[in-house]
Amino acid sequence: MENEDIQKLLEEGKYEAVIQYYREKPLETSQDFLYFGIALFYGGFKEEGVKIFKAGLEKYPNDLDLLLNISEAYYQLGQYETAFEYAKKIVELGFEDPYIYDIIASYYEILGEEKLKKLKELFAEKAYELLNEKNGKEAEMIREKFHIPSRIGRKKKKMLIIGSCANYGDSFVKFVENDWELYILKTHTWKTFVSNYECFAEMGAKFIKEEDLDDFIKYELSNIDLVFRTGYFYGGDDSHRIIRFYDIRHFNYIYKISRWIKEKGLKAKIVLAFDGDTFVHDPFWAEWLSKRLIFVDYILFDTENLRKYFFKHVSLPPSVKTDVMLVEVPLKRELMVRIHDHYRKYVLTMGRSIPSYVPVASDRIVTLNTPLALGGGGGYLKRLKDREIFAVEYGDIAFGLGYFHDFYLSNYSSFEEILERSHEHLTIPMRFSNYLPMVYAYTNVPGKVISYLQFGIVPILPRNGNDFYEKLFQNGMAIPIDRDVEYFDPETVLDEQISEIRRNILQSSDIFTFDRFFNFVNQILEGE
Amino acid sequence: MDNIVVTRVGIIGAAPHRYLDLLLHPKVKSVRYFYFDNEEKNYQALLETYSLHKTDSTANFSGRKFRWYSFFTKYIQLVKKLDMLLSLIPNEMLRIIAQEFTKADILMIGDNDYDCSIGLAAVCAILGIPYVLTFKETRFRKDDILEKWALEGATKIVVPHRGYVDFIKKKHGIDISKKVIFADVDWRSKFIFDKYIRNKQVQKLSERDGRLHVCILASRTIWDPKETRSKGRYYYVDIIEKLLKSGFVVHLHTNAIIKSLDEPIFVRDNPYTHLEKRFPGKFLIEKPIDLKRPEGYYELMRYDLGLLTSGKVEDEIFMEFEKYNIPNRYYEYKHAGVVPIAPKGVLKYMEENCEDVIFFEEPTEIYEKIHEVEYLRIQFYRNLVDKVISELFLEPCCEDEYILDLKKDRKGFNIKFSDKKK
Repeated sequence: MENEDIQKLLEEGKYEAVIQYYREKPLETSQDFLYFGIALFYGGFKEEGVKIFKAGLEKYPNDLDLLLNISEAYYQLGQYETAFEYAKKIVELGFEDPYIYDIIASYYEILGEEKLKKLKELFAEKAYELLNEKNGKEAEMIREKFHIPSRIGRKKKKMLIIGSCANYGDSFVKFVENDWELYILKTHTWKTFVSNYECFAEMGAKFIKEEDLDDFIKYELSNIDLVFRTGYFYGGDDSHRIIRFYDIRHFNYIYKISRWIKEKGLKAKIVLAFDGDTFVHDPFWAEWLSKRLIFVDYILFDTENLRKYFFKHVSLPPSVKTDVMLVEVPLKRELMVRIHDHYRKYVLTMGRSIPSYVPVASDRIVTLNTPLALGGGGGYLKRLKDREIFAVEYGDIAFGLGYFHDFYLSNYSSFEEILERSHEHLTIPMRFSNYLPMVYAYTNVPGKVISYLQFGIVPILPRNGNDFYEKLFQNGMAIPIDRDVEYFDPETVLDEQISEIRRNILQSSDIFTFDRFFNFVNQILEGE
Repeated sequence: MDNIVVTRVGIIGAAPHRYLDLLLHPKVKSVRYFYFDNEEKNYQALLETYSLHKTDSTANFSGRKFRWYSFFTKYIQLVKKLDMLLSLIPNEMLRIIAQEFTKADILMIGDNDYDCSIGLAAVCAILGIPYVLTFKETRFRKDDILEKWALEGATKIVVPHRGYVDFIKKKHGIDISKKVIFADVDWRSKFIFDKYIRNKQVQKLSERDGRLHVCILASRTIWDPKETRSKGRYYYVDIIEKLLKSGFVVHLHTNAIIKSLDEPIFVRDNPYTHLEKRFPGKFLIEKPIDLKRPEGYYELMRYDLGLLTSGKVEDEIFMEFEKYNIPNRYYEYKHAGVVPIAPKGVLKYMEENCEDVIFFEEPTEIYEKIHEVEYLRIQFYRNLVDKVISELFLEPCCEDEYILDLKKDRKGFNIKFSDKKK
């Protein structure tokens, strides 16, 4: 039988005939799995049908038809969470389907959380708008089902994000909730940040494949208001570049996109943010990067030190404006700083750690071993849930341990000294456990310090001239450790003092929250 | 983008001077060439060409031997899973790939499935290193997993024509149509053409004796018709005999005449020498023409016609690719103003698309069809470089595309050069 014949049988509801056909024919193509699965599922053998879809997806993991059908099947079986998992994979593949949006909206409704209300409306609107083009009756059913407000069809601003972002990609939900559409150029990324794509899918972003970028630039870039990329630039740094090259293609794309925008006089602003994993001291890579940034409008740096270090090596035209601002940080509303009467007088550590001397006794250190998604490592829903879990289980721990890896070295050098060094002396052979003073300590804002602050856990940080740390010290949000202090005893800090620091953290949360970036974007689009 | 640094990895091949078009491109600042250790001679030829033509505006050039040819011909072929590949790679090789290959605005890897570059591209794909894959010769083999990874991981893929998209879809089940650049790595140098060939007058042999002279450029020729390894590609006995019987003078330029690839023995008494005796003065076995030197083209320019294929290919699997193939000698012939000819039935894509080639069932047809060939259309490696830069950065081409139509002049087969910019 030809595929067309099988499709006809399925349309006519002659499932038994299709089942009989496939009992004698081996399943080879994705269509074989699809047709047999459909025949079984709708022919009364629901479990068997799902099994066939699953078997097909093992062989063809990105087959849209199989994904659509298995998602729909689980939804019909009342297994909404599983239906949702498959549905968001379809979104990640860049496919738009009203029924999939319906499934996601329905799942958000079932969860019933206030934080998901706007996302639910967004997906319902998407389903409505797509259906309305083809089937007005079904579209009306969606409108009634979700009580969609009359905001449908309003003009939205559009943001193109290049790559996965790094930490706290979920904060971009603030844009989504404020009538922005997110377009994600999906590139390969670190394992750690792959989940950001899942997160963006749950937030209703549209995905663009790399191979579709040229068409996107030619035909859709004119509708984009903001092009944005945050993250690292490894600049040939030995400790990182051996396995990670995703930034190379990001900056190639940025050049291509930004050049097009300027040449065609398009409205979009191009904003980049560099985090502390940025190394530009190799002259080749500094020049390489300079060439690619000449059409960019704004560059944001995590720290003032990073900006100084960057411009020590990279030359850009005066048209490129810069500022110091954190982007890979939580939303203000995601702060879970709770004031307790008593705190556990321990020092928490989490994430990447480099073996080195730390000024805390090992029996006072608590390591976060559970893989909780705080700034990354899971989809949007998982992050919301895991933050609740973390707040309950670790929220009363008093302190969080910062990085001290080269702080106590005998050949310790100041930031100014390091800045003057040639690039040969600036590489960071961390993986060889060879501790040399490195620029990283002065320019980086560790993700874990941001997570401590998010939960009111007081960071214990080296007073090394890192200007972000200095801001925290000045605002009474962290405890500084000087180089001549080799030991910090958590018991010496009173509960009242910890509560005071937590209140400071809340009061000065602008320093480390996403909302400032959100306002910045709106301001530059308004020409301010 | 200006001041472009190009890292080129892979085969240098038969025409090292085509890279002059890259080195002399106004947007290119430097070229770093990584060549496999089986190509020392070609690298020396490339170096000599570069030294000979270096000017103040030529890009910087540096070369480095990439000494893992045998690794890519042997061990890597065993790889069936992604993670297995990385665990096999020696640390030093990984370091060079990671730190040296990447130091470029454009990393170009290629060209063929037999020269190890495809396996190397697959490694870059797995590491996430962006590269342009220049892709020419391959075969229809199932489970060619390295080639699949190499194609999937490429930012852009340079292929000679649209037929490759269909071929790759059939072979690997993947669609590369959105990232292809149509250009042929075998396009020859514009620089060499302008400097050595454009205004050079060479008398055709036909002007002396009034007979059409056919050239065959063949690195190896075999005489055993039952030989299967080369799929008949190197077996020229029958086609030469047909040409001779039809009144053509045939010049076979070859490195070696052997029984077969499996039995590479030479004996003086072989079917080719028999033909030489049967057709004295009409069939000549000659030394290979050294086209690595620009002056080599002068020798080629003496001929009227150039044979592209033996026409004896019966293997269906082999034909899956061969029907799309464009032999590189096609470009050598056209560069020298020699009209390419080929028996029908093998180079099927060319049959449908190349009006400047004479396809025949019987050689006698050539006498009539030669009058239908109005021009030889030439494109240059310079076009390829322009297209890569343009497509990669979405920039307009550096200059107008260089297409040269070599127009036929008078009764004979002399060719007059007339520039026609497109």
